[in-house]
Amino acid sequence: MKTIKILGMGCPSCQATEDVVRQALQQSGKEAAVEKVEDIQEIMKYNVLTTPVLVVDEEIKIKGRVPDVNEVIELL
Amino acid sequence: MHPLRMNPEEARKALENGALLVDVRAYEQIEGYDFVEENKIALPITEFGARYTELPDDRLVIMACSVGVNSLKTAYYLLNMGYTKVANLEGGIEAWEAAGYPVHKNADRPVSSGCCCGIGSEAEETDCCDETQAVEDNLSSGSCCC
Repeated sequence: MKTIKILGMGCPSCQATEDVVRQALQQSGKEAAVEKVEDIQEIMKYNVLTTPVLVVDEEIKIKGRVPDVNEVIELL
Repeated sequence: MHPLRMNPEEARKALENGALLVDVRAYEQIEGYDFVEENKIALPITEFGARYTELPDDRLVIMACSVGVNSLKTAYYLLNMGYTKVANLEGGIEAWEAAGYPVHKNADRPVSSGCCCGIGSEAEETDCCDETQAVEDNLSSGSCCC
């Protein structure tokens, strides 16, 4: 099972990213551990300046924008 | 390692002693609402990753933005990249002004506080910092770090 982290500080874009991830999991029928990371010190361990960021199995896949559902499904 | 966290008074004193204020807001934001300070440069967060090496590493740099969130990200970024003399202006330009330090406001430019996403002023306005949208999404305006 993959681990998906959503890095962001709680703004609507970050919330939208989580919603997209949940939709992608539902549509694909796959399972993943989803974790929101909102603490700035934790976020900066990934050394990213723009959020939201989607991290799959500790690899940054998307940053600085809200992905679409199909894009996330391909990452699952 | 963490950046120094400075209030406006501490930042002002450091600037008098040779520190450099680095404003990471978008140029449009700066044009509308700016620090009146000689020792400052603009380096927007959208350009930061490509241009951070322009910053001195032998002098204290004080990162600043609207409210101190994006600037804190850039401060950590610099530390991650090997800089050691890094501070963050807590509360950003809004705290600076509230503390009584001078700012320049351009009446022809609306003042936008920006957002913690750091994805540019246009996106901030439409995708992130739209408080109406935030309310529709059942999020309080405080949920955004604008």
